[in-house]
Amino acid sequence: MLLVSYSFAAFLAVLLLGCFLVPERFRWLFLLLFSLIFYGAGGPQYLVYPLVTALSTWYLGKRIDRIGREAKAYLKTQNFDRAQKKEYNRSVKKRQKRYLILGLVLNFGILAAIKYTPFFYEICNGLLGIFGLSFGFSLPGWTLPLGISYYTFQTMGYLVDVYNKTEEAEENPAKLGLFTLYFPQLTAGPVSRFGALKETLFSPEPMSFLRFKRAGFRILWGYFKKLVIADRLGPAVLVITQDPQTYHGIYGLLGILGYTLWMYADFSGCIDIVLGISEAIGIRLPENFDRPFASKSLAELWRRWHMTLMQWFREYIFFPVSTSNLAKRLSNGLSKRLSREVGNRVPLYLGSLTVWLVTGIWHGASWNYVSWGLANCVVMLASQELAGVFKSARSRFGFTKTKAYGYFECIRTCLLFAVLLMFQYYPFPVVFAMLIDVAAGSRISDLFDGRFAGLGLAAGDLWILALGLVLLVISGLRKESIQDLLLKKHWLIQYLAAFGLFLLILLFGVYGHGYDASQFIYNQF
Amino acid sequence: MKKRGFVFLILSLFSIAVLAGFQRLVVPKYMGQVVEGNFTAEYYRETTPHQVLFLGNCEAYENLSPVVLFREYGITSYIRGNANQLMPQSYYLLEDTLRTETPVAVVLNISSMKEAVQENESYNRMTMDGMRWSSSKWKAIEATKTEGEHMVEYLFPVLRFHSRIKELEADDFTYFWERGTVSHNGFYMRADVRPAGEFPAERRLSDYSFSEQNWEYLDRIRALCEEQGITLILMKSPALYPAWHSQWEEQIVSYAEEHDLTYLNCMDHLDEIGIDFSQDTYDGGLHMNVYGAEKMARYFGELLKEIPGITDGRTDPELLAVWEEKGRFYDSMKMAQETEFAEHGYLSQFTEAEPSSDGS
Amino acid sequence: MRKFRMCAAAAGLCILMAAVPMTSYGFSLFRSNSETEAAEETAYEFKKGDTVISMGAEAAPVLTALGTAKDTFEQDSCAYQGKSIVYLYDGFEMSTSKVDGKECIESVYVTGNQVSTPEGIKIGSGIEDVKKAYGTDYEESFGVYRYTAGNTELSFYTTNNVVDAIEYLVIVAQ
Repeated sequence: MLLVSYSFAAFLAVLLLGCFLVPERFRWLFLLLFSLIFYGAGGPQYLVYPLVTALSTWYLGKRIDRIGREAKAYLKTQNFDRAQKKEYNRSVKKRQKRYLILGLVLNFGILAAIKYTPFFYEICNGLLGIFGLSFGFSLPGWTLPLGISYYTFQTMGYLVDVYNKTEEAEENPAKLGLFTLYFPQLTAGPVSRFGALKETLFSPEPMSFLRFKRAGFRILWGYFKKLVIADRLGPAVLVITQDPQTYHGIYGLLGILGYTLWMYADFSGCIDIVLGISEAIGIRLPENFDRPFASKSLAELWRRWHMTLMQWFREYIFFPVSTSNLAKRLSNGLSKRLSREVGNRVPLYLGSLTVWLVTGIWHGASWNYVSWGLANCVVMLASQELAGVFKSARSRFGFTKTKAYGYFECIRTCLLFAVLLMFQYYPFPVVFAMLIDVAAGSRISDLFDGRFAGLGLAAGDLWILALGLVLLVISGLRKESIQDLLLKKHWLIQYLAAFGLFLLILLFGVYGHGYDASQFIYNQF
Repeated sequence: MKKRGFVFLILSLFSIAVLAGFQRLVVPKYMGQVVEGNFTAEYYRETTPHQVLFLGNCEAYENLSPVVLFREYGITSYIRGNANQLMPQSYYLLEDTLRTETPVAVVLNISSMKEAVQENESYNRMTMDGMRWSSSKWKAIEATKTEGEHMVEYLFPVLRFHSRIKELEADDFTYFWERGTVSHNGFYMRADVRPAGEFPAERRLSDYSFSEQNWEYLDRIRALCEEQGITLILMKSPALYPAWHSQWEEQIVSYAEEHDLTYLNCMDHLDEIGIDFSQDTYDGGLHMNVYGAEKMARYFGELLKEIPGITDGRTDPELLAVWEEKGRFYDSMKMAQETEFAEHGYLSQFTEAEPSSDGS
Repeated sequence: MRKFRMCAAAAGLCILMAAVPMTSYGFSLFRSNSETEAAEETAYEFKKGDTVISMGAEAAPVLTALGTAKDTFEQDSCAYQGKSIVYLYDGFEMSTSKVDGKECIESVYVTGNQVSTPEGIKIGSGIEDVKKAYGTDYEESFGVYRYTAGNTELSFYTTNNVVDAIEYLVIVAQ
């Protein structure tokens, strides 16, 4: 069931009505039922995957927790000295780790097998090709279960938290089922931690008109970004990115900027819808965007873009890798052989490389995404190394403290982000050729040479996109969200804003006959 | 609390009015080159009953003149036909008609038996958007909607036509409140002439069977007519192209014989009807123009007047007055079209503008 | 024993992970193979001299290459919802229709024995020649032998096992 479909609108209406009628203490069960219906709407056979993940995670979490509690109880009955206690705890940890590894291998294994087998096949076929061989058969295509990346990461984070004792194992498998299958998150996240979500998910706030209004504004704003901006821009951007021979020069620049805007409008639109729906039913999900284009550096942008996923990577990949024994050994080794300065960089470099490699692979099973992830890593590590140089340069020039310079930094960061995104849709060598071409061969007059007509954007579409962009910029400049801003206004202004937004979506939205209801970009993960 | 309720009511009414206004604005008006989209709704403006109901696709609404049928035989009729109207749609339009009147005879054009599925979503919209909401309309939509069509888009046409907001034309404002009458009791008038020429070779088919659904709805039309005591006549209009294969003809003849129905294939009676494909067609032999349609009306009048229950409406002053008004409208449109055709050799309303030499 | 259990669990996991894509297949999670295969298969094409006529292709270059047609027949669809054009040449007809605003080739109908298919079949050929040229992967009904490849349906109409009409037809994607 797509979030932009008539059937989802009906589904949502029934859900909201149900949430009003069902007693609060049963609302989580009601949500679980609707999540199962939502997931099963795409085919009941798909339910097997998240249910296997949910049940295995629940069982293994309980095993890990039980081992820990039994060990604790046992220790109380024994008179161990410190060394014995340490040894015993180590053995307990070892036992718990087996279950943790079993859970990680099983669930990430399923994810890897479903999502990355074709990529693995391509790599092996490529390697065989060096020797003039090939597999001699092609893999049939298959569909990914909805949200497999999101719920796998979420549940594995829970399992690690139970292992690390930062979270207690959940007794009720149905509750863990809801945590896994909670339907708004399956489309494009956010990736939540069990500890942060459990209270709001299993004891949602009472339904309230004020929160409903706030949520309504957010949902409308999300649909506006998706249906009016993203879905209008997307096909035109694809025409450019899929035909670099025809669309280069200034069109390449349009493609770079258009792709970024498309990605942002689509993804943040989806998040607004997801968070809005959750808020309407009394559940607070973590924010995933914090005005990313107000960032002054790439590192800052990545702290404001897809925040929950980056947080997950930081906690479950970056910190464990950078504090791992391997990192320590490498660091010590390089410190001895080269210098302490070099050695001290190892944890950061190793952690960053691992995170960005995984980020790239998570986004897509192809070399494009791997090179995109690594490109981001290289740029951020280089920025880190040159931080001192930049700081000293800035301190010399007074204008760097002005607001105008701040805007320049934001624009520079956006452009850098947009340029790095090129790795996602152009092959590696084409990126550099395209950049040179954009820099050297962009002429405004090329926009009137007839190629623009091939993008499928009429004059009306351009005006609508311009309006959308203006609204996006205005909303991005303010620290306050659109919904909070509107809630402070007179009720008539609120009504006019909501109705106006609804009308814009109704009349200018890209949906219905003649349009393919497009999935959200991040749905594919 | 009362004040809140009142404000809520006002805002709701305002919202509904604005949405209804935008819906009215974006829905196509069908007052330009394509007028067929207005045919279904025009039926509801009728104030007097009809003795004969014609059903079918373009072969029904382009090939017989109800005005001449009344003028010369006093037989009141209406053509509930639309572009590529499918058999299920004909059935449900009959059902819809029977809510308000019961004709003495139904003449069903069986050319649509060869259409198993709708080829273009716009034909469905043109046929069914004008229907008044009822269970018949709901079932007609369910039976014939194409993939990608949704019932909710029929309930709220703004969802289907919203993209027209970028392509609004003068007609959308001119006909915002009311549209003019474009048909003559469902008859599509064309007074231009384009003689029939050569046609491509008749192509063989691998399968000449009609679809199960079409047989089912033909049966349902027959059963409904039987139940209501209506005489059902099957007919095939004169048309040189596309081919009406003999294998199809055999099936209809056999069906008519089996159920004791009158079936008239006008292609077998061209001389009697007096059809001349060099004069009586506006599109090279596919459909009749007004001259051919008038000849068809005269021929059918002879057949229809023999049906028990058919009376001469010219003796009823109220009917006469209504049909004389229709006749004036008919004559004025015919004269206007004839004049334009004589002057320019084409009818501008139905001709796509050729690009001028300067590209505009 | 514990080691054995862990090894067994690991082996079971490997089998499960390998089985998952196959399980997906069993759950019909694969994309329709016919679409992938159809795209990869080479569609049937008709040739007139050096001009290749592919179904679904843009008509303009083909019309230019074929030169002026003997005759042209244009038909507006009901209520002007489309226009199909039939170009008549010696021995065959080519039909086009508008797709996304472009005139595209819809079908080729061979009417005379002056032309033959690239595989050598023409009006008057026997059905055995057809099978030799195109194989036995066909559907037959009422004497019409239909072969499908890519986006093209190639039909041989026969009477008494002799070809009396040949048609190339584009398969419209659903």
